[in-house]
Amino acid sequence: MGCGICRIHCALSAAGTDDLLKAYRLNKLPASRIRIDENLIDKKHPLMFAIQCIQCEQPECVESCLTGAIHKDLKTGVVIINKDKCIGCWTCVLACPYSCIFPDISVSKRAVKCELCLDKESPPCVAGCPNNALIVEDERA
Amino acid sequence: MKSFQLSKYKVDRDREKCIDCKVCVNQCGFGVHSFDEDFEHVVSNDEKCAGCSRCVSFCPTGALEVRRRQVLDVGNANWTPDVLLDIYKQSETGGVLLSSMGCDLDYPIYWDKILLNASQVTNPSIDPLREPMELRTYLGNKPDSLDIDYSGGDKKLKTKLSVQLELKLPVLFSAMSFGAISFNACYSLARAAWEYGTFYNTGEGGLHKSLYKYGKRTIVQVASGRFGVEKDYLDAAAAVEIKIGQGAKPGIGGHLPGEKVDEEISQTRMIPVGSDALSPAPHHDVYSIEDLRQLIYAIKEATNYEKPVIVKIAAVHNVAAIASGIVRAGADVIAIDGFRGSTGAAPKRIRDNVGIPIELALAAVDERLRQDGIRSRASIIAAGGFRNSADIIKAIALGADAIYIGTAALVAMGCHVCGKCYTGICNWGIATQNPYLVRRLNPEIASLRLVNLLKAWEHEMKEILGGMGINAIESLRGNRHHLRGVGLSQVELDILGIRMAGQ
Repeated sequence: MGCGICRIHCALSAAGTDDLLKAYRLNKLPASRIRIDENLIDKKHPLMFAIQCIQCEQPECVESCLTGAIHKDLKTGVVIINKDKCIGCWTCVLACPYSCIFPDISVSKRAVKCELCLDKESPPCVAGCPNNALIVEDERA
Repeated sequence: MKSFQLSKYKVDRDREKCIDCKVCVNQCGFGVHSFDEDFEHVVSNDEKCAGCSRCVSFCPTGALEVRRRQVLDVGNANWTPDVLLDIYKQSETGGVLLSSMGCDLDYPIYWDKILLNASQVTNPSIDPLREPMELRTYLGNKPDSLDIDYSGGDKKLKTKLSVQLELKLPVLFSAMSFGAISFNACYSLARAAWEYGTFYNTGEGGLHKSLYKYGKRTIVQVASGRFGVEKDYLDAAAAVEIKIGQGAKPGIGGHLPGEKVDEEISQTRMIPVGSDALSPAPHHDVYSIEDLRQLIYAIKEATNYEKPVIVKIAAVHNVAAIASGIVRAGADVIAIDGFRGSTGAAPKRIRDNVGIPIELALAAVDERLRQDGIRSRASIIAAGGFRNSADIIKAIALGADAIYIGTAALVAMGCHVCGKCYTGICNWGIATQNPYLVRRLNPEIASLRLVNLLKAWEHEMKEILGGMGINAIESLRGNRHHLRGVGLSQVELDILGIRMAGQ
């Protein structure tokens, strides 16, 4: 429904703390890895959804990265940014056709993207969506 | 002219907690919150606030508080600020004041003055976790006696039984039309009724094509506007309800503003897009009890006597006599809607001042039908402001066979009773047709919430019955000895047919 609460859960989870207010005030809240896209021009058919990196088969970001910091993990299918190699040039941000890589200007000064939160029981955006709009599915047969 | 209208609600934002995430901005359909580019933070305009608490619920840091405010601290005990604001509004518009939901005046709630019995010492209670507890309810015409054929060794029932509606517990979802509420809300009610084992009611809105598959759990309504009534409609249903009146607005017809009549509503109700859907009062072919009998039997003929016919009336002064007439006219079930019944839109004065409490109406009708010797000819469904399982138990003890819940069902789905349904804006996606808002009501979640509510009430009712030493709802039905009154006058006790606590 375009509320954007998924963005808050994502940012908070990436901040590594439970305290939303503290993270916000101490400027430790990083960029969210999920965003809301909406088209409200047609009032009869409003369109809105949360979009995050779709882990492309042939990622543009991997090709565009100047330092080779981004690679696609062949086992999990997740496209991962190596924080140590990323120099924050934002070329991948420009290259992504879905605008799903975000410059984390406030905290890490590097590019960030959805990496599916595989280390967690359930991705915070999925668990936190008030309307159950996000579903996580394992597509590996 | 200058308006003297003032906002009744105040939005308080704790700046220490606000993180300017703008969730409140996009969630408020009334346009209260907005992001100010110059201040670079969210600002709120109290004037537009409807008091629905959507922003309060969704704020991730709990930074918002919405309170009723005493914006005018003038007048006196008779001329309260609310009274003054109503007069200001009418002098500015010349119009009838519209309102939604149920009666907002401080009339007594009789359920809160009735107490239940419990078993101790002389009559042991029953443990509902260890003994079977029967809540199953059948609605329909019951015979006065049973004729059983004992010859030939095997017992055979000779009496032909009328068709009955079987309910898992004595609660049904009340009539709420597609138009007054959104499609997602109707779908949630249909699914929950199907999954739990009760029924829901289409109200005056007709039956949407995609809900025909829940037909076996659907009561279709034939109201004065006859919206959506045709052969398939009657064929799909489990029962047909003739709506004569409604507790929120006895004596007058319904009104769905043209703004809420879009393509889907138009097709389902069979009226042109954008036209006001006006339900007249009365049915223009029912001007007497004989006409009603004719309509009841016309429907029975059309449905081949395979479906119970319900007649729904509002609780008014001579409700007992009216009910007696309706039962004699051939209704299988009679539904009585008390003055606390809710609505999508009704004139404020009628909603607040017309009708009588369901507690008194129910007691009077049950008593009158028993005196007339016709109580078993029709089941009674009571409606109008039932809030919890205790209200339901008390109603059954007063004589009801089952209860309709309207407001309680909407609240289960997220309604916060802000009473702005008549504007067509509902931030919970319930009382609106705006697609941007309707999608907020996820039927997967809403139907689960409804089923949970019914399950919770089922368990509570079993606990209460067990405590009373009863193991079947049938033993409680009309059993007023299990009720006592507190703070009631002798007349009130007499009408309710119960004794004072201590007696």
